[in-house]
Amino acid sequence: MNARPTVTRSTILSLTVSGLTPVLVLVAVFVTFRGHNAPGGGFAGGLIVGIVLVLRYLTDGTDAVRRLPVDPIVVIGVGLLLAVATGAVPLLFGSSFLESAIWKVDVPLIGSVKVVSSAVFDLGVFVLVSGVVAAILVALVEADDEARRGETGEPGDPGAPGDADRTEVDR
Amino acid sequence: MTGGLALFVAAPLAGTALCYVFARNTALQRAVAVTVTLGVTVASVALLVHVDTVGPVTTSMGGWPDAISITFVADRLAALMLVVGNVMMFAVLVYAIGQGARDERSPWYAPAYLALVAGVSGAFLAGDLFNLFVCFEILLMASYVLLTLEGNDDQIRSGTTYVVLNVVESLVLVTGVALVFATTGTLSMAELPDRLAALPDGVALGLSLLLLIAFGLKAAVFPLFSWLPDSYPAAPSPVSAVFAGLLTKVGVYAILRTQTQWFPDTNRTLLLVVAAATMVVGVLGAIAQADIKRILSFHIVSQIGYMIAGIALGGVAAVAAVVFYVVHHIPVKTSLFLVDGVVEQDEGTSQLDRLSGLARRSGLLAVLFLVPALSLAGLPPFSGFVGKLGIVTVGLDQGEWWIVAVALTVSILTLVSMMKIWTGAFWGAAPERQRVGVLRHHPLMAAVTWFVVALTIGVALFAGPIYSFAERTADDLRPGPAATTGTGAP
Repeated sequence: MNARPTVTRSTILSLTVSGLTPVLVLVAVFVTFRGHNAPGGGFAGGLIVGIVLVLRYLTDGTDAVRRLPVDPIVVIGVGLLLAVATGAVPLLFGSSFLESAIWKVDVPLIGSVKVVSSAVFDLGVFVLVSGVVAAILVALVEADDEARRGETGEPGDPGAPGDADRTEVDR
Repeated sequence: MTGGLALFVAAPLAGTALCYVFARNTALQRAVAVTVTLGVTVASVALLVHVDTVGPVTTSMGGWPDAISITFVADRLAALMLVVGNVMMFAVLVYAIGQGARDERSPWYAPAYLALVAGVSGAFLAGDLFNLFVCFEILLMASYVLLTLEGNDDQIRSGTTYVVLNVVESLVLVTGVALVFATTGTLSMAELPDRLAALPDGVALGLSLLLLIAFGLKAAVFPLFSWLPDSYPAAPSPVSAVFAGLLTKVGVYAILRTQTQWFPDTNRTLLLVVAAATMVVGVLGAIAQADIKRILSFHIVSQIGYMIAGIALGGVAAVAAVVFYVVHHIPVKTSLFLVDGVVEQDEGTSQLDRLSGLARRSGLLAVLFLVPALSLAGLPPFSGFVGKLGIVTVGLDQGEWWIVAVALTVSILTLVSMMKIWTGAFWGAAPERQRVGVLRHHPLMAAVTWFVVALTIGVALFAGPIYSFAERTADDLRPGPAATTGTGAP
């Protein structure tokens, strides 16, 4: 499938990145929830996930982006829905829009933990920003594909920039 | 219902989210978008009735104290703008679905459109200066997407200008917001009139000019207008229709608020000169063009001049005239762009030298163009006449005869440029091979255009009640602290 010339890949970088991926995602989640009272938050967390995607793009090439398990545009929607819903749910309980509920929960071994409903809002932002970075990457990769097709003079697929990978398979 | 006003922004944003989730299903996206815009339209009409009979409505969000929470306030002006804005957004959305252009079928269109609805509504309802800025940003982001969605060369070129200028505008605005906060210690629109009045004259003047530059760029007044006739024609017709009708008017709305309530009687001469220059340059630009969309785009600029003139004259009567003028102008301008959209859809061009004889092929289309065109020029019995009469009367009362002379001259020139479209596109012999009955081939687009033109006729028919509402609105806006303080949640 991947017949066209690609850049030389570094095994060291590739292995490092695939090893780092789970760690970085964990850091992203940590930064997201840390953001309630300290620097961080959903936006920063989402950008870290974006960094992971960019790193994988650098090591594995465009396939890493095309093989995304979910459509980034849907991810954006889910994130935004989560954030808006967190704002709207308090209305059902007679509170005001975006008002945050606070619970203190006793967890064994850890002790008292403060849980806030606005953490869900941050989670929504986290998901949304991850989706946005992924969508931008996909758009860049598609543009890249189109440019390559133009260069090599291969017959492109006019009018369907979203179907870039399908034409690859057909060939 | 403590959520009240928040829903006018939250509902379109939730719609945006759903449209992203349904990204691969255009039919579902359309259903969500139509439902949401129709819903907020109905809700905003209910809000208008409530505000007019009971009084202003305030909603604070997040359960924070008033000084630091996000506050939405709906007084008569905000509610009125909300109704007009949402009706137009709904109508143009249906029109765009009827047209089914390439950009409308993109998965990014419906989300961006709903985000635009959220931004415009939020800007009208914002109860403090910072959230006004935030809502401006939301509507600008959405407008960047809508303006460049097709991604052709023309859109990218004019889109670049548009984005750069608006980023600069945002920078000026946020600087203004920061300086207002630094000097007065508040950003609440209810508290600002008193606090600003206590400032030294020079400081207040500086702040007012900074905000005027930011909002003036958004409203496209002279000399900050050149981005508009460049960028709007590049967009597809439904997008330019909603931009032409609404976006500049959000800027006018902001100028109206700041000038009448925060900085009364400052910058009067400056604003009058700016208004006259805006009118003249806009209309001269329009006469020089040979493309329907470009002519109409220059007319937006020219018409903004009338509104600024009214704001500059000041006083309850002038503000009432401006409010009426804005209400009349939004459907008129939108309907002209909608007619142009039908022409473009059918003929593939809006250039006057390539069009001919449209009136012979579709008399109804000619009527649909003529009614808003004559209204824009201010001929009786159309709504534009009432609006212009109001501003001209105030001008004469205040002895500013020269602005009246400019306004009347520009009216005649407006008529001239409208006649240019008429003779170029509608008059003359129809090419024989063309089919007749343009409207019949685009039923949904035609229906929406009819609806909006009917609205403009409605504004003329019910000019009395609307004008008295505008007078009550202007009464609310008299400089003084009592105007925007709400009565709490409904």
